[in-house]
Amino acid sequence: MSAPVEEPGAGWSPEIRRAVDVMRTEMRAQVLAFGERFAATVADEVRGADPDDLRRYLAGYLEERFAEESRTTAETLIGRMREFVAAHAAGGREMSPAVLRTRAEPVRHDTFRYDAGVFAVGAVGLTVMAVSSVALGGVIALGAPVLAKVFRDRANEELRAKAVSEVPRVVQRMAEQLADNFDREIARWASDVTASARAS
Amino acid sequence: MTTFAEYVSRRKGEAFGGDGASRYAYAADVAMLRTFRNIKPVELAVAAVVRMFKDVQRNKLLGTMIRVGPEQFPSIYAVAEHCARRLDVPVPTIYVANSPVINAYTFGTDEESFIVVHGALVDHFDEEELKFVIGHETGHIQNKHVVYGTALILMERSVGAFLRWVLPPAELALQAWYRRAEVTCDRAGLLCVDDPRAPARAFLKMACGSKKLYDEINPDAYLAQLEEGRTGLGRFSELFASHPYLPKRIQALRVFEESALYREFSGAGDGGLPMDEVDRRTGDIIQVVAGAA
Repeated sequence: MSAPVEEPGAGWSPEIRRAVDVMRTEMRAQVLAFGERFAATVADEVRGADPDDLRRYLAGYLEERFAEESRTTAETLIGRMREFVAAHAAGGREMSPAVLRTRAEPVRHDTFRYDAGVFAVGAVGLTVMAVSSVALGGVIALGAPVLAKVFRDRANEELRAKAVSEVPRVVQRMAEQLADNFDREIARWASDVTASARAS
Repeated sequence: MTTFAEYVSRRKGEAFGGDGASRYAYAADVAMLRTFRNIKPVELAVAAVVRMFKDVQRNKLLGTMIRVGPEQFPSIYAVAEHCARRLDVPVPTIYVANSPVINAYTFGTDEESFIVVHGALVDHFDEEELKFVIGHETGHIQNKHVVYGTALILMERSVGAFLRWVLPPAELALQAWYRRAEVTCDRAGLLCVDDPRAPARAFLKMACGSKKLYDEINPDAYLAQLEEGRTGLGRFSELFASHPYLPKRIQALRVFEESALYREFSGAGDGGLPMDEVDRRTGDIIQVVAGAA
């Protein structure tokens, strides 16, 4: 659930309010449509991916795709804002074409129980080596890397399955977040135009 | 429209990235790390243990330190963004910790790394010096030093207290590698600054720690300490250190500044030393035992 968007709109003229409504509707449709399109394909993209790549690169990939989308949407909006300013001889700050940030949380898979298991086997092995039998302890300690390999394969499978099921939802949440960010930018622009009109 | 596979392929081959090691990496660091990583079962076991402690540490960080972001310490976040852009990596996660020691470090795993910057470092360093430090730490992430670096931290601290009798050989090996890894990351830091004198200033501030004396610091006189420190039995104490001694690091960076790679990057023009020559000279500078760099 995204945070409610603050509506500063006090003092906006009917023309500005109409322009804001048009821009918001158009922008939200564009961003959410992108989110739906992307969510529909992203699961297939990650299905066969290397789990290490998913851990390291998936969040960056999502952020980059959303950065591209926000650039495109920003350009459309700036066009609309310029039209309004020209038609109404208005002033005020133009919205920055700078990319609005949309952060993606990396897909995380909790491997604590596996990792603790590996640590425990290694620690027991080393303790047995220290207090009782070097040979027995050594064998137990050598079990830690073997266990690590088994657990790693299992964790990789689970991570991939989790990515396939969760990433579409992550993408849709990011689309909503981006739309909310644009909402705020549009509101800021409208307030600036209003302030500029009052000042002149 | 970029696909995930294309994105991964691009990131792995980017200017200073690369799948194995960055282009600026010190060859001796790359070789030693590769040796560690080639013992795959051990690598997996180390990663599992580090991951377990990282999870514990992460919660501690969230409870006791302040995470940097666009809305929290934006000036530090801007530095992190700058370094990430320069090195072609994602913006690292940074925490600011309350500590009077001028220091910063990175820990975690290859997938999830954290940089911890002490408050004293932020107080003492100007923006360029901070870029060097955060660039240096980002270099650890880019060059996949984090797992074994964290293993070393764990050995030196908590785990080491329980397993003191069995760890020294592993610790010694990791320290030897980490000294070389530091050279790589000093280069990463240098690539992140606009003022190439900033790294030396940062090292000198770390060595001195007194704001009153910063204006009187003489880098050349400090470097003369290097030669004096090369003699005597005590020089071998560096074998048990995780970082090369500071004058050596300044010297090593000066050699890197002469490289064709750095000259091209900084716009200083063509020419310069090839990286294998830079690494050979660096080896001569940082070696503790003759021929062991």
